[in-house]
Amino acid sequence: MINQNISVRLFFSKTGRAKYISALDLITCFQRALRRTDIPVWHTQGFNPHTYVNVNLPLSLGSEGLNESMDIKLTHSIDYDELKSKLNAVLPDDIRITRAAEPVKKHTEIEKSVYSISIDCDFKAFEEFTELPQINVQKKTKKGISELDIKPYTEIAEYEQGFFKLTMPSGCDFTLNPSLFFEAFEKYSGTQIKRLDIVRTGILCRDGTQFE
Amino acid sequence: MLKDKLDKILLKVQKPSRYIGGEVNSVVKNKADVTMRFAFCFPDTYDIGMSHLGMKILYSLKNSVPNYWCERVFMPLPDMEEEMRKNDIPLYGLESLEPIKDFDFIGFTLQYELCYTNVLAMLDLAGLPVYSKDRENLFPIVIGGGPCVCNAEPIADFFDLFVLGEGEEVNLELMRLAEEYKKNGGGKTDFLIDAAKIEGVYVPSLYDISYNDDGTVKSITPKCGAPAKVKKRIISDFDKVYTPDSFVVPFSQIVHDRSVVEVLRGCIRGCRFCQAGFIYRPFREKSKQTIVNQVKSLTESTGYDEVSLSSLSTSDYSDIEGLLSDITEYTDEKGVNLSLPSLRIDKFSDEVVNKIKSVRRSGLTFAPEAGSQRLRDVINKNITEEDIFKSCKIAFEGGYSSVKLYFMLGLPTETLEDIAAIKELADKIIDLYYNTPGRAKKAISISISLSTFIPKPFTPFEYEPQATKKEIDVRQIYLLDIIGSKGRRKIDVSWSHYDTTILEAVLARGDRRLSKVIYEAWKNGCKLDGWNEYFKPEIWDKAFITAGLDKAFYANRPRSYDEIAPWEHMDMLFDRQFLVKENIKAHEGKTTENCRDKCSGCGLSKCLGKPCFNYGG
Repeated sequence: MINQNISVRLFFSKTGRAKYISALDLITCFQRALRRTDIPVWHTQGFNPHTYVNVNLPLSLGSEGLNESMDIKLTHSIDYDELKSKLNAVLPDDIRITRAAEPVKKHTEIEKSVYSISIDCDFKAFEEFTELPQINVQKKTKKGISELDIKPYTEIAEYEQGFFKLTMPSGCDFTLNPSLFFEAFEKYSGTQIKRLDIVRTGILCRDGTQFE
Repeated sequence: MLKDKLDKILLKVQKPSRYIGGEVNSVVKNKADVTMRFAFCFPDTYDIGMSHLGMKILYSLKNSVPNYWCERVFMPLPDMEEEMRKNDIPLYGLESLEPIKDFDFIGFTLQYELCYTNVLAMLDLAGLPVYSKDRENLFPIVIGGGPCVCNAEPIADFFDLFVLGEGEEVNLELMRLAEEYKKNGGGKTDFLIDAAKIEGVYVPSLYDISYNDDGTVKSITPKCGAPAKVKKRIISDFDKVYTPDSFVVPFSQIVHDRSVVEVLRGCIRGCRFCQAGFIYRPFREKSKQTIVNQVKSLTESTGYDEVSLSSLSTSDYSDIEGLLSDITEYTDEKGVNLSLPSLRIDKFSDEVVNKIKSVRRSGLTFAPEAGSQRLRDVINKNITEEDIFKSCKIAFEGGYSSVKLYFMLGLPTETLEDIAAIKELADKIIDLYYNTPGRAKKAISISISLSTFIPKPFTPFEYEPQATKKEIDVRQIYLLDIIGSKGRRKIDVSWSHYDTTILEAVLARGDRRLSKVIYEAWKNGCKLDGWNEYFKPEIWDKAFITAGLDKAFYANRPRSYDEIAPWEHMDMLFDRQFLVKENIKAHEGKTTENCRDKCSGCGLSKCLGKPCFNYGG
């Protein structure tokens, strides 16, 4: 039996109400969306065939993403723009496909995520916090809870009171959730963050280029 | 919009996607084009409410009118409710994220009695007084529908009006009337008097109830032109009844995560304990073509990979083999699972059995309800041991090794012999399994689930007392004893909590004085009573004491045929005398044939002006 499958990478934004969809539910959401179209999707060939979708890098619940990606497989190729518009017609309003393309890189090459942060808090305390030489946090790992200095892994750029770019590791080997950074701030300052919007804007590979 | 406030709390609660809307196929309209806004409230959690077919039908129906906007509202779980109260977020519609207290209608679907405190909790969370008399403005109009309306007395004081029977048509009639009032002005009292003129609308404040010294109802007196009997609404052309061609598809997993197509309404069986079997009369089917079309359109619009057929008894569809054959032709091609709850396979040809076996994943379930044939005759449950064995054999040959059996304890005339018969039935199924060539190579597992019989209004057993806790305990212990610890390796037994059961029994056949009990219970912290982890029986007990009412009076007292029932002013279109006749037959152990074989003379055909079935001359 010919079991041809063509990989396609879908780039999409996940904003607004959609930021509350968990990574697992997002997969179901895409599978159902694909079933609402006549896109020739490839199904896994096991005992219980299902629509193949793969999230390249899950996004934390509550964060928005502008450049997320998901891989699907087709049984025969169709025009990328057609694919995009067919899917956008059936996806929830707050998930929009921005581009469909042939995958260039492997998801194992992913190293870092770039977030755009908007925060409302005690700015003086926050600025003091970002100047600390060390930021020690408790990180849960498979082996248990371990102490870790996240400062060397945290890059802050383009800071302007309450707005900045944050880059942190995220990949197959090592991932730090940005929430660790903000929880550490609350603990350090003894203050509460009033509002925090985290938007993932980019995903970087080991060679420093965008994941595409 | 409350979105900003919600953004601050949603990450603190479990499964936040169920509190924010935005799902595929949810309906968002431009407020400027909308004249009537309806908050459709399901008084239980999102996961349960979103699985309910009736809500999907009425949601789509109202939204099909361009200038009406219907939104969904569910009961938040305690973690969410706490955050909402702390942050001053009133109950809101999932589509607009706007407070429902500003809507024109707040409608509750009342599917089971144990949701009543949730209704109060939701009204309060919306920022509204819970008693109808304390809501002086006409809007929002608080209405209730669903099966519990056949005796809405215990919650009568909280609602402005109820809709009795099928809501598809009457909902829109009510909204049109309210629209006129909104345009031309007019107060709540006038509106309610006008609404009571619509067939199927029950306005409780237009009836005075008086009581005898013994606590029973003395009289029910209508006023201001309200009808002496409120007639249930039914859809006569059921094949053409409004059916949604799309469902809102939730993000998170819910109880029944699939499309559902209703194949028939009503039931021909007449099981004497079953309220649904009486109040949803007459029996009506959709045509095969209509059902298949609905399966297709729902599958395409939702993307679900499972579809289920819904009814009280799908096996009674007149051409069930033809129907399944047509549906599986489509679902097989699309790789969609067809799920058939409550389907009896003993009556099918091998060909159909094979077809559905390939798509059936759920286990084998029977509801004999009673262990002995004698008691099954009393309750008119038309299933015999032979039927069960035949189905079991088919299933065992197909590789099944587990069987689930549902029984009720405390049925009228029940003795310990009937209880012993439960165990004997399980033993016979075990023997059958080990004597079936080609069975699975593992031990059989039988699970017996025991619920306590609850007498419900508009059934032949509405006159019966519910068995007391002591009586039920004796029967449970007896059953466990005769099964023995060795037997329980193969036979697992579970049962329902009596505290919940008796409360349901009280509320089911209660009168208007119970409003006070429900109010007190809610005020002191009761809600989500249908959930074991939230149910607080001791607070309910206190509420009964405060209100000076006795549970046993409502639950455990035999009622005479001529006692005025609290629901006497509801007309479910069949004769009350028919229930008396059926009750007498039950005590004589005599069965009644199903409606398709022979008309049992319930009186409903008089209402329809024609027989329910074509009896061939």
